[in-house]
Amino acid sequence: MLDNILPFVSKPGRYLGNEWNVVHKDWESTQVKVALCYPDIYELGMSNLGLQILYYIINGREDSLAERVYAPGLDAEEILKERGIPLFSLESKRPLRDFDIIGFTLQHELSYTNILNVLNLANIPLRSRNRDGKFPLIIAGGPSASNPEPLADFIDAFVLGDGEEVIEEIIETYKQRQENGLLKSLAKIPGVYVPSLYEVNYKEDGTIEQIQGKGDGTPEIIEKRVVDLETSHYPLAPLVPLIDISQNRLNLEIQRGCPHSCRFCQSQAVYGPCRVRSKKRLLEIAKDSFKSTGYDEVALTSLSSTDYPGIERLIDEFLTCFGKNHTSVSLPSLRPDRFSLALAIRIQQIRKTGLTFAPEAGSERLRRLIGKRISDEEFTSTISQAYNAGWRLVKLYFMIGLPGEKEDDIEAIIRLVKGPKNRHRNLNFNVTIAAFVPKPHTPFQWLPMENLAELRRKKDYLSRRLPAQVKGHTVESSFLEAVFSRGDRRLGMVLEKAWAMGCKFDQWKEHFRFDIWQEAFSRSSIDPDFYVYRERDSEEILPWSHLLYGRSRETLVKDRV
Amino acid sequence: MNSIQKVRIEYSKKGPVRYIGHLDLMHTLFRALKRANLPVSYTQGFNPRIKCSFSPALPLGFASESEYMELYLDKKIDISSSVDNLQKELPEGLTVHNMEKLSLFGKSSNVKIKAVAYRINLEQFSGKSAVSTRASKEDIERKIRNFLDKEEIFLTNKKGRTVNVRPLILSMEMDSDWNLRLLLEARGGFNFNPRIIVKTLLGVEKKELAFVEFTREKFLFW
Repeated sequence: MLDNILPFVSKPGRYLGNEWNVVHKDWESTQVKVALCYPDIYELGMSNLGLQILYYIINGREDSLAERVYAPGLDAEEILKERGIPLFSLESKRPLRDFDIIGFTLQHELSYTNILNVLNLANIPLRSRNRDGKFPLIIAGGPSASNPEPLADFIDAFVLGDGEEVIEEIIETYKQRQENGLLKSLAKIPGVYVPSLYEVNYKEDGTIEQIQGKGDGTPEIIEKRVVDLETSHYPLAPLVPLIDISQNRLNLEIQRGCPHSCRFCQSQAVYGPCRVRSKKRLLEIAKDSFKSTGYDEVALTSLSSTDYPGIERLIDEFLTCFGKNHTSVSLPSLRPDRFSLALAIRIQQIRKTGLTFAPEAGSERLRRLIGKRISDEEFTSTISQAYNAGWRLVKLYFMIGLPGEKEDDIEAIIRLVKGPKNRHRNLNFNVTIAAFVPKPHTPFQWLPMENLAELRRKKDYLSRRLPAQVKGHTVESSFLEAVFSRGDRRLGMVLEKAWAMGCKFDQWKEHFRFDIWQEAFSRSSIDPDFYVYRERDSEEILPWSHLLYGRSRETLVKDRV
Repeated sequence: MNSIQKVRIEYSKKGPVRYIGHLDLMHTLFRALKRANLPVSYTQGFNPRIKCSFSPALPLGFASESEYMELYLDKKIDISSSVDNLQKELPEGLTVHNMEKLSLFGKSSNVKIKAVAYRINLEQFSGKSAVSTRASKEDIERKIRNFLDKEEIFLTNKKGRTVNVRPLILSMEMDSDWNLRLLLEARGGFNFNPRIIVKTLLGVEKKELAFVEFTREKFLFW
C-alpha cells in the first residue's frame, strides 16, 4: 500500500512509521487498540509532547497498543481518495476504523476542520449519533477541550486537563463496556465530559438558558484532571523522527503550569496549577532519554522555564552531566529580563537561535493591566545586554486589541522597538503581532474582541512603522479563532458546512479561506459576531460554565480589570 | 582532542528508509553513532560537528548497496564489536556490511570516485505487471543501441543544469533478469540522476517510472 503512495508525494518520509523507538505491538493479541491523532502535518504533530506521553503510557500496558496518525498532506490525501485507500495508522498501516479508540489532540481551534477531514478520510461518520458500536470511540483532549462545545456533535467524550491518568481509566472502562453503556460509564470518570449526555437550551436572545445533564449520574460540574508531575509517567525512549520536524530535540518538560497569572492567558487554566519535576527526576529522565535517542540537544520546556525554582543549578547540572558529550541545553521562551538573559548566556544560545521575548504590550501601563510586569527600562537594558553578548536577532511578540488598549499603546510598541534599534544599528528584530482573542476560563472571558477593521488598521500601521520584519496570523483567522474559542454547540453545523465546502488546514495562511467561512456562517444562519463582539454579563451561562478549570467564576470575576 | 583513527563504514539502504533524504539520513546516522557510543571526533569551534564525510547524496527513493561514511575517532576501537554495536542502533533498512581502518591522513573517498554503477529493474515493462506499457526486451535493447549511437544527449537535471550525458555513459546494457545495468562516469564529483536518463531512454513519463526500482550498486574508484 505504501508503495502506491510514496513515489507520488513530496514528503514521503512522513508516512513511513519507521521512527527510532517506534512501537510495533501484536495486533491480534492486544485487547485495546488506540490511534492517537494530531490533526495537522507530521512535522508539527511529531513535535507534540502530550501525544508522546500518551503513546508511551498506552504502549506500556500489556492490554493496549497505541499507534499514530497525522493529517496527510494534500498530495497524499488526493492519492488516498483517488485509490480508495482509507486513512491508516503509521505503525501497522491499518485503517483507523479498525481501532477501538481514536484520540485527537485539540491544540487550537483552527484545527477543527482537519479533525472532520481525518474522520472522513477514515470513512467514519462525522457525527457521533451516526456512529454505532461498530465504529471506534472518538475522544479528544488538550488545550481547546477547555471549551469543547463546537465539537460536541462529533466527539464522543472529552478529557479535561492532564491526560496521564485518565487515559488508563478510559481504557479500563472500555474493557468492561456493556452494550450501549459505554458513554454513561465514561461520564463517571472524573475529568471526562460526554457532551451527548447534556442538553443545552437557549433563550430567545441566543444566550444559554441552561445546561442540564440527562438522566442520573451525569455530573453537574466536570473538573479538569491534575496529576502529580513528579510521579507521573514520562517517556524514557521518545520517538526520534528520521526526517526533520519543528522541535527536533529531546524535549524535557521541567514544569507544568505557570507561576504568573497574566489575565489574557489561558495556559494557566489549561496547564495549571504550577508544578515542577525535581532536578533528580529530570536528570534520571535525561540520562535514559539521551541514551535511547542519541539526541545532542535538550530543551528544558515549560510555559516559563526561567521561573523553575533553581533553574541555574538545574542548567549547571545538565551542562556538567551531559556537556562533555557535546550536548547542548536550550530554553524555549524567555522573559525579557536580566535574569533570563544571564541564563541564555550561560547556555550559549548565542547565534544558534535568535532570542525570543514576549512583552505582549507596548506600554508599562497596559502590561500591568494584563498582568505582565516588566518595566520599559528592564526590557531596554536586557536588549542592550543581549546585543553586547552577541545576539543580532531578537524576536518579539506583541498583542493588539487588548482590553484597555489606547492609541498611545500602539505608539508605545513602536517606541519600545525603535529605542534599541536606534542604539544598535545591526540588531534586527522579527516582530509577531497577534490579535488578542478573549479565551474561556480567563478573567477576560466576558469581553468582546476588538473589531476586525480596527485590528487591521493597527496591524497595517505597525507593519509600516516598525523598523522590523512584521509577521503574524491574519486578523481574519484570529476572528475565526475567537468564534470557536467561545462558541457553543450550534457551531457544529457551521464547522461541517465549512469543511464540506473545502476548508481545512485553516491555521495555514495559504489554505485559510475566510470567504468560505463567511459563506458557511450565512448558510447556517449563524451570526459570528454574536460570539466575537458581544460583551457577556458576568451572570450569563457560558457554553463552558459546567467545566471547571481551576479558578471558579467568582475568582475570575474578582480578577477582572 | 586529536583524532587518532579513521574508519570507513560501508552500509546498504533498502526498503522504506530509502525515502529518507541525504541530510536527514546524516542526522539519523549521527544519532545512531551517539547511541552506539562510538568515540567520534568533533570539529573545534562554536558549533562542534562530528568529523566525517559521506558518500555522494543518493536520490530520494533509490536503494543502495554501497553507501559509506568515513569517520574520525578519538579512541581506537575494536572493529568487529563496533559493527555489532552500530548495527543494533540503526533503523530497519540500514545494514552495515563492512568497517575498515583507513589512513588518518588520506583524502575522502569522494574525490576518488571514477564511476557509479546502477541497477535499474525494468521488469514492470515485461508485461508481467499491469502497471505500464509493455515492451519486449528486444525493444529496450534497440532503444539502448539507438541511444548509444548518438554523440550528444543533452539532458537537464532537477537543478536546471543541462549536460551532455552521452560521454558520461560508460556502459548500458540489459542483463538476463530485466535489469538495466548502467555505469555512469562521475566527473568532479558530479553525479547525473539516472532516473532522467532512463526516462529519456525509454521515452516514458516520469509517472511510469514510479515503481521502477533504482539501486546504486557500487562506486568505482581511481
